[in-house]
Amino acid sequence: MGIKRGVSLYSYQQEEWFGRMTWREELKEVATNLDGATGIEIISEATIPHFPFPGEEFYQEWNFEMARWGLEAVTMDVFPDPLMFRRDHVMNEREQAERLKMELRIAKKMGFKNLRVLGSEIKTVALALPLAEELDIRINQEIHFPSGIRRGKGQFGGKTMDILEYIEKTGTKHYGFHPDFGIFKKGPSPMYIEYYFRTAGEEHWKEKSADFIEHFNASTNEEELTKWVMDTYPNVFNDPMILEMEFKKASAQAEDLKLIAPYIYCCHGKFYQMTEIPGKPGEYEEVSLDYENPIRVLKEIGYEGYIDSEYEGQRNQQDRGLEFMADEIEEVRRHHKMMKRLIGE
Amino acid sequence: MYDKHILSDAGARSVWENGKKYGYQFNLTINYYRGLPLCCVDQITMIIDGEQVPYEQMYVQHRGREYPYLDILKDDFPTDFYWLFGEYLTVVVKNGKGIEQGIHHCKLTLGTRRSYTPTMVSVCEKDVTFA
Repeated sequence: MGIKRGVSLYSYQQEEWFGRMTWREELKEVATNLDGATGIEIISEATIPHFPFPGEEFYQEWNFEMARWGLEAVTMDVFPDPLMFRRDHVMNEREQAERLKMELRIAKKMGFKNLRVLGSEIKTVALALPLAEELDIRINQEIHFPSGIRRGKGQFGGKTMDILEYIEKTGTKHYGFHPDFGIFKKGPSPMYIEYYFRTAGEEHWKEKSADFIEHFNASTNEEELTKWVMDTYPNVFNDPMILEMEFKKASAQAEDLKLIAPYIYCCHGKFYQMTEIPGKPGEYEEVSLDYENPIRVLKEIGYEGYIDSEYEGQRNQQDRGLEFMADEIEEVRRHHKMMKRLIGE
Repeated sequence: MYDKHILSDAGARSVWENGKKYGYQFNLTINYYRGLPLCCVDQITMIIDGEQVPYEQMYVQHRGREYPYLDILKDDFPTDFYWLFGEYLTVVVKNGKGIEQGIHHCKLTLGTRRSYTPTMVSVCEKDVTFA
């Protein structure tokens, strides 16, 4: 068995947005061009036509196409949108749980085994758990940068340990985790840094970005580095949030996965840009994220679920003309070449 | 997200009824990676050739239905009419006279409310050809 490979159709969002690909063509791409990938993940509100009432015809078409290409419906991503009822009415837990139940029923009809949640509180999930158990769908908390694994009550992004406690206390088999590889940050992504320089109106953004990354990688003192950046490029990194996101090192270590090992049901293979490894034509890497160690640990703990590609580099290349936009199809193909190599298929 | 591309050239034109021009329309695509209910639209502001389109003249058409723009901002607007990812939302401006054919400089501001980030405002400024 071992680790399986899949794709979140989020990766092809730009193709879809511009009307160049539909979910049917995306399924075909995954089934035919990724050398053995079998998993599909979607965002309900991005893929399902006429959401939340797609109609029986869609469900039949979806299940037919999935069977046709031999694909497995792995995870459906949902959002609570607690502000949907306007600003003066933040949805309470019961209201959010009802929405979660609605999504569970849709997921069941499409054959999904997992629901991914991000902003839902434990109390909300608890209210939807009886239905999840009845339908046999797991609700998995995504662990997304800058949240981490080894964090608990009162700590920033620290829901993970609280959920672990809840799972172990109740013994539920339908609440778990969905780590996103974005938490295993190695350094800044050159593509992101170039975007910041470009959108700040800087000339020679490519060179300046390379200079930034060189300084970043050479620096051992965060304070000094921050001061250098603010002094050298005050127009570019004037937003504390950008600085925080770019300077923060990994929010989790690969070994941390062992803490939640029995409850990992799916992973996001987040990536921003796949580049050729110098001197190794046809082999690719994601320079800003650690993939080797997390995959090694997942193998050690006997993880047999999916890592779904979640390509997110397109958004920071949309400030230029159409001719400079990312090639999502190629990026995902490269990502699977890398995953295949690291998994050791 | 998709800021530079949210205002489409497709379908920008005057609209007619009973042989008379009564307004014009343009199409928007959502500034996000998924669909949102129409009630999560916080702002659509359009400036054409330096003049802001009055909100009370704006109507939003979605899947064969039409709503006054100001209605979708109200607290009791239904929460299950979804403006889906990649789908056009048509804004009709009922100004009683249409728009002159040709190129107009447009500045569109679109604000949408999301679940876990602050309301994101996208601005798209470009020349649009009205047919």
